Amino acid sequence: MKIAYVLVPHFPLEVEKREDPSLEGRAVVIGGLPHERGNVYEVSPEALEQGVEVGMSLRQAEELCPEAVFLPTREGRYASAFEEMLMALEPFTPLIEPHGLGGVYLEVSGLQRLYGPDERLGESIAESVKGTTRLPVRVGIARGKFTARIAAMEGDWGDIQVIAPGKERRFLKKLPVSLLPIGEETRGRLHLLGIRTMGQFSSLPISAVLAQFGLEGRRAHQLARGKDGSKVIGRTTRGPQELEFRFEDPVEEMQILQVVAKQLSMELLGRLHRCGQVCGRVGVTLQYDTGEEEEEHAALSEPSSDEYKIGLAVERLVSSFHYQDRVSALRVSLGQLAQGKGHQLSLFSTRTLRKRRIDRALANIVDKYGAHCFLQAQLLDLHAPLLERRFALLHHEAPVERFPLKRDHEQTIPTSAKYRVHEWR
Amino acid sequence: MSRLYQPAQSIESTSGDRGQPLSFEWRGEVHRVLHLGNRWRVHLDWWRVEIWREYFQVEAHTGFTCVIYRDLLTQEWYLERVYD
Repeated sequence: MKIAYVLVPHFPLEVEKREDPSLEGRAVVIGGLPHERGNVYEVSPEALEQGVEVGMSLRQAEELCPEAVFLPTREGRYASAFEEMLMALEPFTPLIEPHGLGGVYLEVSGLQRLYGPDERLGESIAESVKGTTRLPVRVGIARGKFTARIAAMEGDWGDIQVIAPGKERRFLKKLPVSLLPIGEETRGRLHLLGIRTMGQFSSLPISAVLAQFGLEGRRAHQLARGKDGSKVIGRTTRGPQELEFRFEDPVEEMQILQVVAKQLSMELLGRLHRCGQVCGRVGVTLQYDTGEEEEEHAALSEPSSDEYKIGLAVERLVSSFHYQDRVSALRVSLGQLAQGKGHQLSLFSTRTLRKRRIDRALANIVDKYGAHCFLQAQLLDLHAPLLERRFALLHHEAPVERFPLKRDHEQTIPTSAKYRVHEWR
Repeated sequence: MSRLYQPAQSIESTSGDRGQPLSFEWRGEVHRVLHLGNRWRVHLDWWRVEIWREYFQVEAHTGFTCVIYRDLLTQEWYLERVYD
């Protein structure tokens, strides 16, 4: 997987400079006029040197840098300039992921035959963006998204920086840890521990990082080592797909909500399949009898239109709510839609085949060693505070067929016919 | 991957002045606590059979990483999860 990151630093400022070249070399503050109430949206490096920062009030900015040129924020103009930039990049690859204003990830694997070596590819990308938008551009090319972005940020104006596969860690090791996507608290703790560079951080043992900084630290540790498996999510082409179901009588049974949520998600997935799309985000919204709404979202590890993955995410979301009242409406939404990559469909469902193989293997084990030689784990409550209440172990026992059916008037349902639930309580 | 012991394994442990484990013995080996990760309490079912525990995610000097807890009702220590 090869990623290119295309960056126009200080994008709004460059758009303003493009329209008024006299701003070149001057201190510029974008956000409004100094007497207006508002905050600084963007600053030029010249104003930055005077102490002006993004987010501070315009009045403060004027006090710090009275000679600066103050301009109003023209977000519509910046958005259309960014759209021009995206259109200039589209001929290279269909997998384009906008990253803020002025940054774009491109999946550029397998383009050597068309553009030659990576340096040449980077030059072609830069020329295309410059030719279309007349904006200065930096390009970073590497094996992961994070390294590619840092390569673009650390390059000089107009430079193309290519990080060869396997050299990511060496490239990153002297750079400050503040470039890693970590929170303020983690950054402060790293500072206290005297860890300043990514090289120092990446040389720590993973167990220590996990114990000290948790999952956030582990992710940052992998990035500092140049390991980044995240993929480019194709550009969103349409808004989220969503469906709502209104209950005639408000319900409070979880099973009913699960069934309705599943049906809605399957209907939405059908729409996605028809358009060849995948989604990166799943959301469930409940409307209570009182009129209040509660919403939960989950991000998929990678964009997908797989029924099993989406169904599981929806099921987990429905069970994660803290139900305050009876539910009068349920809405399922699939967001971050993108065009899916083609893949070979399986003639047979691999999941069914796998299940059959497991069943056959279990039957053989039971025949050989008896029914009590293994247990099957079943999830009970994902959010239970005690670990032992999150699941139950099921003892495999006699199959259902061993319980002869009684006559209609005598018939009872053998609830624990196949499995006996062993609860850890 | 981690291995969950159910029921949790009883262990001998020494604790510091703030209740944190300093060392513990498991399967004949004494593990000195090097790092304390997460620390949390669970208080449940006080109206039924009360459960009151204080959990610690610990890394020992031997590299052994696990989750142990102290039953705050009986002051006994247990090992519940071992990380690979």
